[in-house]
Amino acid sequence: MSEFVFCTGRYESGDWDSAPSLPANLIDSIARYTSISVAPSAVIVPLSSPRILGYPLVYLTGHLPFRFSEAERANARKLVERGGMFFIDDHNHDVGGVFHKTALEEITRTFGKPSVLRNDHPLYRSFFTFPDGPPATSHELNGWGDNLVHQNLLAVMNGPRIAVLYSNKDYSSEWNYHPDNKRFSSVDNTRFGVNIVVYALSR
Amino acid sequence: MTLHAFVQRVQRQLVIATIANGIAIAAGITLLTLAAAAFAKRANPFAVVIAILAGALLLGFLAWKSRALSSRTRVALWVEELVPSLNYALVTAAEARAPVAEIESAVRVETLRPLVRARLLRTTGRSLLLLGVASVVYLISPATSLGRGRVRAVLGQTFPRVVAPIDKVGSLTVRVIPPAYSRQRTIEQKDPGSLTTLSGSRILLRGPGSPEGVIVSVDDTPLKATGSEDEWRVTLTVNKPVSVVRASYLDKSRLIVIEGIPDKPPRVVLTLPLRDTTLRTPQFNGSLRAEAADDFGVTDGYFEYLIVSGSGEAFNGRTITSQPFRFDSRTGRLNAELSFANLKVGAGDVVSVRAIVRDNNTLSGPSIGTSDTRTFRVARADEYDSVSIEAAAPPPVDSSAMSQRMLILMTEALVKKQKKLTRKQFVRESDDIATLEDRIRKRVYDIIYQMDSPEGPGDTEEAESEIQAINNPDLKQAYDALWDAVRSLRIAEPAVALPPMRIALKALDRARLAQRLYLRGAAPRIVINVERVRMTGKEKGSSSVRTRQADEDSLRRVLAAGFENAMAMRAENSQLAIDQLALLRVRALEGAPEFAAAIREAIDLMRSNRDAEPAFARARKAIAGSQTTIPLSAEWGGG
Amino acid sequence: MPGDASRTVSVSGTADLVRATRDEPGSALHFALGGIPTRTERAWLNALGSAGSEISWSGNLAPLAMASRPVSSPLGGYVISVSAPPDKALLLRDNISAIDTVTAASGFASIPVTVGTGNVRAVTGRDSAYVALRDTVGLRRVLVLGKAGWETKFLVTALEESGWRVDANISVAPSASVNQGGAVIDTATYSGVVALDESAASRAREIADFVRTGGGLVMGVAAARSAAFAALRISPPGPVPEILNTDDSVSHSSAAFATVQLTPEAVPIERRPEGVSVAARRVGFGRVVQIGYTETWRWRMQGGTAGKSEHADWWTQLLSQAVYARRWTPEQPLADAAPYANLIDIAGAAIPPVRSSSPLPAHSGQVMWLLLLFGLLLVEWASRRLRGAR
Repeated sequence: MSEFVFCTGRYESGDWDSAPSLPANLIDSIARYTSISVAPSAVIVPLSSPRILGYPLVYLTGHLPFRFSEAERANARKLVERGGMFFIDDHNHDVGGVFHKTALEEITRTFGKPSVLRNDHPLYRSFFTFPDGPPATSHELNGWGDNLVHQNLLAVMNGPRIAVLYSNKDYSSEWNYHPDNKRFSSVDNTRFGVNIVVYALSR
Repeated sequence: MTLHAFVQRVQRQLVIATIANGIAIAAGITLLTLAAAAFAKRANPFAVVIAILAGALLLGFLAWKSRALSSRTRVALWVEELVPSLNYALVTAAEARAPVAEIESAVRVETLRPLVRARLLRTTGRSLLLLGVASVVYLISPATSLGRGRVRAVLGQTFPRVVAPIDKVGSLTVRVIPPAYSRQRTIEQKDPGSLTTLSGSRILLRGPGSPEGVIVSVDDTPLKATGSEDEWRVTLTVNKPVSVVRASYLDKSRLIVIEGIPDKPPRVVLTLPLRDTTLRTPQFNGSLRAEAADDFGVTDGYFEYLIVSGSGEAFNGRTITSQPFRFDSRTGRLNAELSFANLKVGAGDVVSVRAIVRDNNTLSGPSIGTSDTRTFRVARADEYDSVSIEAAAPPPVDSSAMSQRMLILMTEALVKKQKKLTRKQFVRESDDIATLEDRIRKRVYDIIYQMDSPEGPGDTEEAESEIQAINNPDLKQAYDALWDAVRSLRIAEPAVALPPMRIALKALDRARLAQRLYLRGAAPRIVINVERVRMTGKEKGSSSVRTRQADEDSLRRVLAAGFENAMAMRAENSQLAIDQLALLRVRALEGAPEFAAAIREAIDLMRSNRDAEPAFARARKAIAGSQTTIPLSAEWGGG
Repeated sequence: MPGDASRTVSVSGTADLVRATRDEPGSALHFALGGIPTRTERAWLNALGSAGSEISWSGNLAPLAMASRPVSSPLGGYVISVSAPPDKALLLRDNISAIDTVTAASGFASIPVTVGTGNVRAVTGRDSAYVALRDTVGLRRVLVLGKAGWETKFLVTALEESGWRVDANISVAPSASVNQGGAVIDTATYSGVVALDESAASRAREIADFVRTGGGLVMGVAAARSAAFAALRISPPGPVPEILNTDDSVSHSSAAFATVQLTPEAVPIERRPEGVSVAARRVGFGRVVQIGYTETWRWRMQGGTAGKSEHADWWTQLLSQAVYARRWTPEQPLADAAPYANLIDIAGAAIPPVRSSSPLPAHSGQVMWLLLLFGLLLVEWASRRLRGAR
């Protein structure tokens, strides 16, 4: 039985590797809470390589301009059309920021216009329950970035299923720490990451 | 009044009546002829000429037949025929040069006058009646709009066996008027089953007869038919990828599938610079070039510079655009000079450059096309000492460059000490350098052609970053120069080898600098001990419910069922089968294009009464999909 | 056997047959056949036999027989099975168009027909047989059991896209799963169960009962390795070999699989050069199909433009080989599925022809006309030649 391999997508235009510890942290959480077969380490795959299609859940983040090359755009479309999913997080957590502006433009161009994901969407109940929608991050609560607590995530749907999940809540900062440090937290803040993975693997 | 004068007067009256009769009869016959031609569906200019000729001939014949009216005696005889008791008295009076008193007194004009009038009126009345009847017949005939429209409709409904109602949707004319900006020509088609046109085109649909009773709908949205008694028309705009126009009248119906092709956004390719660049200092002056093209025309374009400053969690971006470029053709070229000084680029900044063009779509656009982005990154002053970037092993290109520098130094030293060495020693040392140089050449070859590198990173996916040198012209130049150098060194000509060696060094240096420096830092690799942490979390998740993600009726199933139905009804009602196939084609256009293409061909063949079986066979194969994935086993009957 | 008193009749049509045998049936009739007689002609022969004539026949006829059965798949369709001489090409056609031309290499061929109406006729030379496409199947739901992962996710997705009604139990944690539908596993609810891995082990007993009562089971590699399925599996799967992909695409033809070792009661469903990748066996009234592939989802994601449909079609065809489906025929269909066999039933096997005692064969009338026509042409030609000579 093949195992789930967490994949960070590398795109040419920006700092795709701005949250290097996040993948391992989420892998740790998946192993910690679920029986899903998961690879012990993550991979980084260029979005322009056809190999990206072997990873139906792709995580993308960054602070800098987010623009796909033609090859990246073509692969991204294929991945979504065949049933894959992107999780794109704005590491700037700033709606006026470069990443947010360029990412929304690129998402619209590549996949279609994203819409607000209702906070009662099955994503928020796929494993852990988040009755109020996406959990707020400490960066939002501390007033960094755009000084806003974003109430909703955005999504591009492929039929009834989320094809592209876009967040400007900065989970990339929130989850970017060594998993050993989880022992210092009273509540694991990566639980929503588990929901995203379980959703991608079951819908 | 004398009898002579009376005869003269009757003569005048007869001439007038005869002319009137002749015209009425001729006109009546002309109209009847035209009506007959229209009823026989032969209404054309030739029929009109025939009808007028028939009327004229008849008129001539009647005139010739009435030539006796020029004789007063014959006129008097005509009156004598009416009143035989005159016993030629009137003839005698008409022929006499002067009034004869006896006759004048014996014949009373007052008694003759009413008889003559009555006779004239009766004759003229009959002619006018003929003209009236002919006019009515003509009016209700298909030769007139009244006859084609309302009268025929009423008659057709009342006496369907006698008068077939006009088929207002049997023969349709479609005029396609593309949007003005596309500069495409208006085209007209007769009875199309489907048509493809640019989105935004106007469609003028016309048919025979008045708009009364004609129902036209586009995707079940009704449209109002307008027009005259002769012709109904409907105008619609193509604004969807596929629309189904249904025109119906009484029990007749027609389908036209209209495919709207969207105006494609313009394409623009940034041809200069070819790749991303990293600079040590914020100094750059260079050319930008982009090529733009559109299916109908590009209007303007510009370069956009997005300059991002900052580090860590704080980044600021500002967007600057170049001067606009105007075009008035399908292609265009953008040229500009990029100067970091003008853009106030500082150390650590990232400049993203792309070209943006707009097309001439004034209807739903303009559509915008953007090129790939090229990034210029300026290194921070402290970058090379920064502890934030973990040192990765030098990439193969770097180590090649270092070795090359060393070999150049060795070669220069060899050239210098040539006179002190024996020929044998000199040749051996030159050959040793050649061997080392050849190793670099092979290393560069491996990089160009993506061979596995023992020094490369271990992670398979990470190794992707090392193949950026593919099609790198600098590496290719280095490779060629290394070849030249190796050849010269092998024949103990180190001095000749030095220039290509230096070329190779410069090329390798350029190739190395072309790499994005900040990507050299490798992320810390954390490997989770999955088995150790498995299910150690304090919190427990819960079960959730999944809902069906696809329609229960798959597209193929819908198409297969619809196709079977259409085929079953083909023998009984070909037109209905064609309509069913047209609707199926609409369903299939997006999800099953091969099936849609085969159905389009089948419809065209069926419309022209040709053999559509090959197209049917292709359509059913398209639905079947990859049927032979699992070979059917004779030993296993299956379910 | 035709004796001296027998009469040989060459039959080239129903009219011939009736004319030659109506007034003078004879006690022994031998028919020289150029093609398999039609249903009507065979009925006539049968009547002659019943009336006391001894019937025999000779001729080089194609032993043709065919059958159709509906496919247990949401897409519907039929499988046409044809038995025919291996050296003859068969044309299959129905009321819509020609379907295919096939050669029954081993005397037997199966042809899938997804869309078809009316009768399917198999024609070879002058011989033909036909069957009606009227059977239907009652397909129930399919239950997919597996751990959360790409294989389970894309299997459920592919089956749903193909029109299957799918229930799923996707295991996420020991106490949590993602559920879609779900009920007691029995043939009243489900046509088939797909057990991908060991997460189905807890329901192995229920599944075994389901199979024994007629249900279909498709078993993945991890499930087949589980001891809970030991009674149902064909054999414990071997290891899945590592295949070094030279390119980035993965398709059915290039996929690695764990070889299924065949047991005497097992039947190979899919055989590859490396071994059997899919095999089936019957257990009780039901069927078990064991597959050797572990990552079929890659065919969909990395299989190129056709990968998505290839993945879905493969699973649909696989399931249709296993699932339980009620089958009924709405009405007795008109068919002439095995005309050759029917002829033998009526008139026995073919025997060598005897010399005709009839002064003229049945075709003599046509031959006479041809001769007359030829003579006239000769006269016409001679007349022209003679005129030219003068």
